[in-house]
Order: sequence, then structure tokens, then C-alpha cells
Amino acid sequence: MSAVASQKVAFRERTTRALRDSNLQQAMGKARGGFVDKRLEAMAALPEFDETRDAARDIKDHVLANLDGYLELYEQKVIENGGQVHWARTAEEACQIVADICKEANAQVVTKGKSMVSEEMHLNSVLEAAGLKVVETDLGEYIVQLAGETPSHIIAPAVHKTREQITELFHEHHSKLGYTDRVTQREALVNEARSVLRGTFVTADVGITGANFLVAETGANVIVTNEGNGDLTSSLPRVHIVTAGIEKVIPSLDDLSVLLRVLARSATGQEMSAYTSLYSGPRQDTDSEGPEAYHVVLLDNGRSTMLGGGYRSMLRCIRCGACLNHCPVYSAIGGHAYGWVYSGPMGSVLTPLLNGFDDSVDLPNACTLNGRCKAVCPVRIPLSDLLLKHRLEQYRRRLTPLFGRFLVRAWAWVATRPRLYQGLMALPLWLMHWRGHRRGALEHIPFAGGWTDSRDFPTPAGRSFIRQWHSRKGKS
Amino acid sequence: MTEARTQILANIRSALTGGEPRTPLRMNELKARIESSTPKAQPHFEDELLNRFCQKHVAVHGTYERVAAQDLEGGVLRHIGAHQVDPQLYLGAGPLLDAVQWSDQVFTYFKSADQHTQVAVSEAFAAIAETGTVVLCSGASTPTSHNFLPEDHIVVVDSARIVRHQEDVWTLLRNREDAAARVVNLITGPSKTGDIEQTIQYGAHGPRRLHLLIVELA
Amino acid sequence: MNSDKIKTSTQVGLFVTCLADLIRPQIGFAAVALLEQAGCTVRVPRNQTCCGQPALNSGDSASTIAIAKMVIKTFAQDDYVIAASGSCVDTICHKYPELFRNDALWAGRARALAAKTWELTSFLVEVMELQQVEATYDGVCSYHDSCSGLRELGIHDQPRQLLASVVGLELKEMNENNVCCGFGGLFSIKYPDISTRMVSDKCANVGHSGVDTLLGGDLGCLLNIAGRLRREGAPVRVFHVAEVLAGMTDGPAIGEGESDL
Repeated sequence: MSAVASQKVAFRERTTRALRDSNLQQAMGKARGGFVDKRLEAMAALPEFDETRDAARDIKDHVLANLDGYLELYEQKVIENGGQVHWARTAEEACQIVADICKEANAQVVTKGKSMVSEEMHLNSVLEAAGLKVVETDLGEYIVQLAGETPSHIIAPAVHKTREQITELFHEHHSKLGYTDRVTQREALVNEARSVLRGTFVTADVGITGANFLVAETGANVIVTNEGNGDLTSSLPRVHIVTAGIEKVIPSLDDLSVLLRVLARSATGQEMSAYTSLYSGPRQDTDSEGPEAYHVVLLDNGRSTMLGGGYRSMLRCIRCGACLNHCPVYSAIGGHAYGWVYSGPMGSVLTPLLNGFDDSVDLPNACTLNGRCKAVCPVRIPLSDLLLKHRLEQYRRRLTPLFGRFLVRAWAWVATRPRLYQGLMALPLWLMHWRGHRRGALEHIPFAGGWTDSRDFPTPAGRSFIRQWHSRKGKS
Repeated sequence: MTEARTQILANIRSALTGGEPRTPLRMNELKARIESSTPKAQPHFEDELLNRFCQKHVAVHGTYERVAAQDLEGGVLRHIGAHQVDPQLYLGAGPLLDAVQWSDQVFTYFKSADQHTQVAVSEAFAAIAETGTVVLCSGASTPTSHNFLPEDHIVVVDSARIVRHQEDVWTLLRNREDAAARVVNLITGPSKTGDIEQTIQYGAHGPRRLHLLIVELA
Repeated sequence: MNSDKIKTSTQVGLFVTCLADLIRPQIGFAAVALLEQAGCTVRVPRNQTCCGQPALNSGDSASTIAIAKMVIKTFAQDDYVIAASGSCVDTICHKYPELFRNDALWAGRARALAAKTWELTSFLVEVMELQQVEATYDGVCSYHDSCSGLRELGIHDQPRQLLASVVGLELKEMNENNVCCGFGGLFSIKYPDISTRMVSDKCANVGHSGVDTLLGGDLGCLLNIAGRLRREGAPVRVFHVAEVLAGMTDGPAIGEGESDL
């Protein structure tokens, strides 16, 4: 089977499974309204919200237009602070760099704050293969790790899990640590996770986090969290490694404030997350504690290529998840159906660009182009327009089924010949009308099972408007 | 310079400028933009700073008490007493905190927190009225671990250090005489998570409670 | 002849849309009636079939361009071009100019067409300044905001304003009225199970609202929702907003048979 065809089968299987998964549907149903409403409330409370979005977009566009310059300035500052900057062209290169740092540090246990880039790199499996124990500390990531799964949402990794499923996971994995009760209440579940992970935080040798932003002015990486795990991961171990895409750099602290204002509001409706932290380098003489070594691994993995084409705006993405939260397709099928770490509208735009068009034919097509994603993006990425652009690109590369392309061409050929079009439509219209006018809708139309398996099709009138009009009025 | 670095930067330049190298003039422009950076699109509000700060702090499940500088120990004891926590205090540093003459009702530790630490008492570098945020900087006597490991975090706030907008904190940091802080934590309320059923639960990994002692010097 | 007494009426060309043309011509007649009520003279050129969305959304820009050129030529002579569909107007106004970005001549023509093309209710309210219609409808209605109309063209208040003037009609907003119904053109048959989930959610919201009639500005959405409502056996009637505004609701609603009346 070709790569395209096998990808198609995989997508269909995943979506069918997702739609039939009652746990997933229950969890997604509960999550849906909450994210949308909270964002609306946050917007209503900030009259300057749209102005801030425009400013955020402008900052990102300015950086992207000068990306190499800002990366060099950021790097200089990190080095001045005593940190090290590593550059990785590919995911493999990045994983190797991290593995080497861990090896040199004689690390055995690695804690991780949430980092989508590290998921993109498949970092955990590389480190585990190198003999390290890797522990995700963000509660959602921890749950997902226990389940042997990948995150299904970029800010709420375990959104697809019900409380009952989490109870079972904890019971299964924590019993051997001495937690023998089956815990069902939310508060107790959180307390158990807190207790279990506490020891790991303080004994980890290496802490790996992502970065929401990299500030060129001071050489700091910024993490935005609510739990505090990212900070425990950054500050307790001997070595702190930051993994970040090259597009994360921003010029100044003032720019940071603009982006922070739209980030939390777009993601969860908060004005500020509980912890917004700036870390800039290893411990100094003026510090009483802190890592001995601070490393930043900058990942390209296809991002620099995106700068040149019509997809540059996608690099503005600040990973807030608003587009996922507002996408009715994502809400119906969940994140795993997308087949990679980035899901929802941003995943459907990014995956073909970072992973290749061949492997992700369905993603831009499994979309109604309803535009809600574009409407809510805090940095005004025209997501739905980019998805349409993907479709044009797929057509150019002949990735879509030949028969479908032929049908559309044939239909369009007829549609540019109105008299022929009306002539050809006349009989099918009349037939459908004859079959269905009494009942008002057709329960079955040959070759259109995709519609009629689950929906009636309202009966056509039998004679087109153009024909009716012109027989009444004469030629126009 | 590694090969990867050269190649990535070359790729970027190729995408942006067709391969032309970045000129020193341009680099100076970028540096100038950073140095002359100003706030943009700030939220406008005219509320009195202390009121706004307290209101925002409470809205994120924080608690506070307004106390006199001489009554800081009293403030600490009242809070930990209410939650039946032992008076084993891991202390940070700051002008107000350093002036406290701790009595023998409390045990004081001047070291990093560990996983058994119950209470840490810090002093805020500044506080932000816009969002009800306290700002804590790492330093020789202000370990970052105090902000994240304890069950209870008590932060002393000098009301004169409450600024209006987040950017005002950056100005304070830039103008600091001390060495630049390695870590700056902007803390807004206690630790929480929504990862189970998208419902907020407090005390995820960081402190369960964030209690402020706000001092208004005359 | 006293020239002060001659009222120059606004000339419009009707873009009937492929779905209305083939499946529910009544919408075309309703649109004409409303435009005439507002004081327009309406021309219906024969040389029209579709705006080309199905080809565009399938990635076939060449086919779309061929259709777009026909649309541009056909309506070149009209002062305004009106369609009772947000998605068709979005295609003409926002997508056509983009299609011709490498062709200065046609780009100019596309922009000229875009500048004068309007969705029906927004044209009636914003250009013709129609305050009310002469219609009655006895029912409790909800309005489904079609995605392109809402997000690309800003259509929200205009149909509601006109509906408020329909005697006997009570308008009630339903939950998630601006969430996609799952039609998305060919999406509805290419990804039928996702589409069915989305339209089922929409029908559930219709049901919870307790209305007896669902209205909307795009026939594609309405066919999808009405088709699912019928399959679920829900008693809600579905009309295009133009039909209600023009008082053309005596016959069967969308998906309703003669045996239902």
C-alpha cells in the first residue's frame, strides 16, 4: 500500500475508534464548553484584548523576519550567563545532544516539565533506551505516561481521560509504592500524585523543560505553568536542559508581557498562570542553590524552511491550544486521531510541514473550514486559510485520490457550460423529485451512502430555479 | 561553531533574505529595539494599587493579612496556627524580613527547602496590581526552592513595592543595583491543576497555600 | 416628464447558488421577492451554475479559476450581485481575488466583483436599509449562524433584525448556535462519521432549545441539519431565512413532504 493510502487507512481507523470510544467522548464532552466559556469571560474582562492580539502578532512577525539575528543575540546572553546553547537540525540530532549531556552528568533519573518539542523529538524513548529513568511531572503528562500514551492536547495532555480511568491507572502503578487504596476523588488523586512525585523531584539528576519563550534581552527561558512542576524540574537537579523550537525567541521583557497576556487567556481563560518563571543560566556565586549546568537545545526540524514560504505565519504559534479547544472536529475525535503530537487545527497545519505531506493527507481535509480556529488564535494565524493552502498543495502534488480529482474536474467542466449543466441535471433532479416528493426526503441515494447512511436528503424540487425563472420571465 | 549552528542560521538567512548575510547595521538595529523597548497594549485600569492587588490575589485562591512591620512574626503564627502547621520556618531575606526579631516560638532555618519543608517565609521583590502577582528573585539568601517545595508559602509584601503593570517589574529589575537575578518567579496564587476532569484542584506540586503579609509603612 | 418623480431603483444580479438552484428554487424566488420589496430591480442571468467552492475546497485551483472567470463575466454588468448564501459570497469576495493574485487583469476584475457582491440579509439591512419585512410566521425559531457568513462576512445581527419584524415570530437563541453543523461541503460525504457526530450535536442543541423551527442563511447547512433531524424523527421545521422573510412558508419546509402538511 502506498504511504498515502496507508496513512488514510490509519486516520480512518483512528477516527472511527475515537468516535466509538465512550470514555473519550465523555471526557471531551465535559471539556468542550469549559475552555470556550472561560476564554470568552477572559476576553470580556480585557477591553484591550484584540489590541493585544495585534501587538502579539506584530512582535512575532518582527522576530520571524529577523530570526537569525535574535537567535544570535539570545545565544550570546545565555553564554554570558554561563549557560550553553546547542543547535539541532533534526529531532535525532537534538535527542543525541540531550542524551550526551545526561551521560556526561552520569545521570540516572531525569524529571521532565511539559515540553511539546520533546514529544516531537520522541526524546523520552531515546533517553530510556540509553538506560535513564524518565519521569513526566506535569500531572496530565504523568497520567499519559502511566498509560503508555502520548498527550492528546498541547496544554491539557490527559483531557481524553475520565476520572475513573485515572483512578485505575494510579491504583495499578502506585500500589507497589505503598499506595494501596483505590482513590476516586479528584482532590485525593492530586494529593497522591503530589506525594508520589515529591521524592523524584528532589533526587533527579537532570531536569528537562520546554520554553514558552526565550528572551533575547536577558538570555532567559520562560515557563508558564500552574502546578509548579516545571519550576521544581528547573531548579532542583544538578543539570537543567531546556528544549525549544528556534521560533520561541522574542526580543525583550516588554514583548514577553504582551505575549503572556494573550497566552493564558487564550489557553485557559486565566489572566496569569500560577507560575510564570524566568530562568537564566546555571547557579552563580550569588546563588545559594541551583543547577551547576544550564543547557539550551534549539531545534530546527523543518522550521527554518517554513520561514520562506507562505506558511511563515504558522511559526507565530505560542502553543496556547485555543484552536484545539474551539475546533468541533477535534472535539469529536480527540487528539490521538491526528496521529502525531500536535493535533487540532495547529496540528493539521504543522504536521504536513514538519513530517511531510505524504504522511498526513487527511488532516487538512478532515475540516469544514469553519474558521473558528482562525477567529480565536491569539497571534492571528489564518489557520483555516493555511489548511486550504495545504489542499491546493496536495492537489499540486497529486496526493489526493485520482478518481476524486477526476470527478471534480468533470463536474467543473460541465459547470462552466450552463446550458449543458442544466440539461444534464434535469433528469436526475426529476427522478429524485419523483421518488421523494411525497415523503419530502430521500432515505437512500446510490453512491451517496456517506450522506444517507445517517441522514435523510431533502428532496429536490424537480425543476431548477434557472429553468423555472426563465420559462416564466423569458430570457434575461 | 558547530556545523548544525552554521547550517541552521544559513537556512534561516536563505529563507529570509535569499542568502544575504545579516549586516552589523541590522544587528545594531535589533539590539537597539531591545534596549529601547517599551510596553505595548497595556490593560488600562485606574484602581488603587493595593486594593486591586488584594482583590486579584484573593480571586486566585490566595489569602492575606495586612500587618504592621513589627507584627510579621504574629502574622506568620496566625496563619500557621489556623492550619495547625508546626512553626518550622525556612526563611528568605529582604528589608522587612531581615528586621524581624524572631522569638523562640518559632524555629528558623536559613537553607534550601527539602521535600519535608512545611513552611517558607519569603519577601517579595515586588508585586503586580494588574494580576495579583508576587515577584520573587533568586539570590544568596533567597533560594528558589522556598517558592515551590513547602506546603505553605508565606510572602511578605511591602505595599510600596506594588506596581501597576507587569512591565514595571522589568524596569525595577533592569535598574537593580544587585547582580541580575538568575531566577525570577512571578507567582499568582497557590499551585493548582485542571488535569483531572478540567476542574481546578489546588496543591498540585507547588505550595497548597499562598499567604501574604502586606506591610504598609507609614 | 418631471425627473424628480423618477426613482432610480437599485439594479442587482441574483446569484442563485448551485444548491438553491437545483434543490430548493423557492429560496431564489424568496430572494427576488425580498429584493423587489426593498426597491431593487433584479436580473437573473442564465449563465450561472456555481461559485466554484467544491473545486476550490478540493484543491483544484485551475477548475475554480475557470468557473470564477465565468461568474465574473456573467455579472460584470450588474451594480450589485446578491446571493442568499454566506459561503458563496465568501468565496466570491475573499477567495476569487486570491486565486488571481498572479494575473493583474483578472485580479482587478475579481476585486471589482468582490466589491459589489453581498449576502442577501446584510445587503437588505446595510445597503437597502430595509427595516422590516411584510411577513408573518407563527412559530418559535432559532437561527443557525453559518460559519463563513458569520466569521468571514460578519453576518449575525442583520438576519435577526429582519426576523424581529416578522409578525408572530419569536426568536430564541440556542446553545452553540455558532458552532459548525458539520456540512463543510464535500466534508459531509468524505468524513461522514465525523460530520454525523457534528450534526448530531447541532440537532441536540436544536432540541434543547425547544424551538419548533430552525432557520439559517446557507442551504448547505440547512440540508445537513434538516436531513439529520428527519432521520432522528425530530418535529422541527427547517426553512431558509429568506423564505420566512418573504412570507413563503405555506409549502413544505426543507425535508418535509407533501404528506407532512
